Amino acid sequence: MKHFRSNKKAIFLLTFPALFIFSVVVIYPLLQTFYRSFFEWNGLSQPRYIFLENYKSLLHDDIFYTSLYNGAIFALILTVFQLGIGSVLAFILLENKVFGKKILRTSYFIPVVLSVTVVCQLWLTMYNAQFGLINKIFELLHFTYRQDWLGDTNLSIIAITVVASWQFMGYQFAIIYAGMKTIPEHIYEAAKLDGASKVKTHLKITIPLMAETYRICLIFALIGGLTAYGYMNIMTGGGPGTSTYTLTYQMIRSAFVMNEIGYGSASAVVLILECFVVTLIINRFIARERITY
Amino acid sequence: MRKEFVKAISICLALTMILVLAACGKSSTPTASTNPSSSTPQATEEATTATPIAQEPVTLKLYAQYSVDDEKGSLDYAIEALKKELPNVTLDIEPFVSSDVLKVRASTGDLPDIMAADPGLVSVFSKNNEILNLKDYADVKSAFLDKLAPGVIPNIEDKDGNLYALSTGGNLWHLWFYNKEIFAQNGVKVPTNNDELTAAVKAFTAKNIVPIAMYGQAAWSIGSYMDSFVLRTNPGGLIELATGKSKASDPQNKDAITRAAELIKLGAFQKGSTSTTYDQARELFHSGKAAMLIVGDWEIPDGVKALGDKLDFMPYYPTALAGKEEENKNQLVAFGGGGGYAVSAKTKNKDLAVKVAAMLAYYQGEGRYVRQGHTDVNINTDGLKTEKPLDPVTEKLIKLKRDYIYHAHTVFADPKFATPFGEQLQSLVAGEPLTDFFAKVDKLSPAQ
Repeated sequence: MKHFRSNKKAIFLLTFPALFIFSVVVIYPLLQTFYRSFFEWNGLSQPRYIFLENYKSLLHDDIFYTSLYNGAIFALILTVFQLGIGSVLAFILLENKVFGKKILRTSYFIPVVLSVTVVCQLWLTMYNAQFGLINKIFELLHFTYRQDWLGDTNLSIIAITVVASWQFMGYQFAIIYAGMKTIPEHIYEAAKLDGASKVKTHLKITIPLMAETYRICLIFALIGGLTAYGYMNIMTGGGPGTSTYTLTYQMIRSAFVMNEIGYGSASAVVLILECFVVTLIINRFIARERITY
Repeated sequence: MRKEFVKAISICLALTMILVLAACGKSSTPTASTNPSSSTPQATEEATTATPIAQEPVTLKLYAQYSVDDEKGSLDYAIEALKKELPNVTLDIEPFVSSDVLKVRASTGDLPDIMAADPGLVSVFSKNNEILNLKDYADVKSAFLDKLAPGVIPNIEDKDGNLYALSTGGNLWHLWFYNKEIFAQNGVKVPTNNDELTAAVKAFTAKNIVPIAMYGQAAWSIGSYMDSFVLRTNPGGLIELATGKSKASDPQNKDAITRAAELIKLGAFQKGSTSTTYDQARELFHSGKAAMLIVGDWEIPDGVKALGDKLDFMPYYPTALAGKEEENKNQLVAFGGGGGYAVSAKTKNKDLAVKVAAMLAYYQGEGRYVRQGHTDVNINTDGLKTEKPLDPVTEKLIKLKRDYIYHAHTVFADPKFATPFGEQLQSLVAGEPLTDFFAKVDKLSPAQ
């Protein structure tokens, strides 16, 4: 092992392909996006250098604020729903007495392997204001609470977030459950001998020991929420109006619909910075030190 | 040792980045060579001197709608006809995926020789000299323009009289289709004016029947509905908002838009219409859950297949004020014009590619009419006979459309206006106050 680590040529040969591909596929487009954001450009014409004008325009664009707000709402609901329910389900499956563990574990994960398109079509049918399952259930139960789930400017973003939360909850559950399984049994036994209840055991032992896992889950959920695009594209097309736009949606609208590549790039840069800041904050405040047990 | 290694890695990565940046950067040469003032007159000169077209085998790349049977039928017909006249030409067909594909290919200098381009793309490409101005090519005149129905040419030219695309289809009239049986069973009169339309909407909503199946996820469909009202009071139509000729809040538009919005509030569209797709709306209509559907006349074959003789369309928009039914009654929203086959400015065989594009555009129209029985063609069909008998709905349209006044739905051609305007239309359907709609749309209109 020591001999291998001292062989710099081998390390170079093994790491270079990955570094090269990463540079071409990730770093180069990022730099290009940043560079293009200083230009007025429709993708074909001669770009015109306008320095920070695109960023100034963003600050005066109502759609930008709608997109920021929607991204925040999406990320927040996604995080609470996925991490909350994912954790509760993992706690339940941690119990030995639970019947049909394997079936439950698999069924939680099924939505994850479905494509976003399939999931959206499924929920579009359920959300249909006239003939959809959800409103029909309310009707059968004689509830007057029937909604135009995707046609209401305030409700539609929440309705879409529920779909995304539901689909990838199983993914977060799998990570959390796997993390919980690594906690040594003797810690729980000690807590049991001390008379700790189940709830207290999880609050005082499981969750603190899972801090690193939760950090990863939190990053996945928040970044996934901030960069959301597919769900709204399929389910509402960003509408009604601009009510389900996110920054990714705004970027695509500007760059590929309005042919304003520079402005779209500026949106993309803000999105990248937003994700970067969120990741930094999470890494700064959650599980800073490595937990060993 | 370690520092040296880090240095070596850093240098390698930096070199890689430089290599990639250099390789992916766009050369400035093509931009210079596609100067408008140099390319267009050259083409004109070549055309007027009628340079003989080479007879050696040539393969041209064609990016065209060629995915579903309907598209394949007419293009195959055109290719058969082309083979007879130009046997040396082979077409390498690339089925149309999206306009964005062409935008990306244009930016890398890889446009196909001939491409089906929508009006928005034609507008962008023509401004950037990516496509040829076909106006003065002799072959375009003889193989296409001379064979068009009267009055079509101004609709396919841009506002400066240039011709960048040869439309394969003709005027696709936007019609109000309805299910005769639903109207009859519910004792509702087929509306001829706004009052009767309002009564019909009220009657259908009371019986839990969707009055108009709307596919509002595509905002232009709401625009067509709105234009149906505006055209009855302002023959200029909604396009005036995009050109700045009039504003939404101007009297000739305001009343019509207000009436259209009031009907939406009454429940003219199904709930969730802004997230409803085209296919879903058609399904509502075809399955008898909706009484009306506003769509182009391309709907006729599928509509007849689904509803049989229950399908009909209103000869004129039922949106006029009572007593004013005759005013502007022939004004109809239509698609067509502005898009079609465009020829890359960088094609190696300019004259041949232009001639092939012109022939394809004509013969595809002929194929649509003769082989498929579609009437949405802009070629002169006098003397042509369809292979199969036409259905009664198509026969009715053929008789009526002679008097229809073409009104291009180009309000949705320029994305700079169309995108935010479409968003406002959706917001209006979702319940935004009409005053906000007028204020925001007025802001979008360019000053005259």
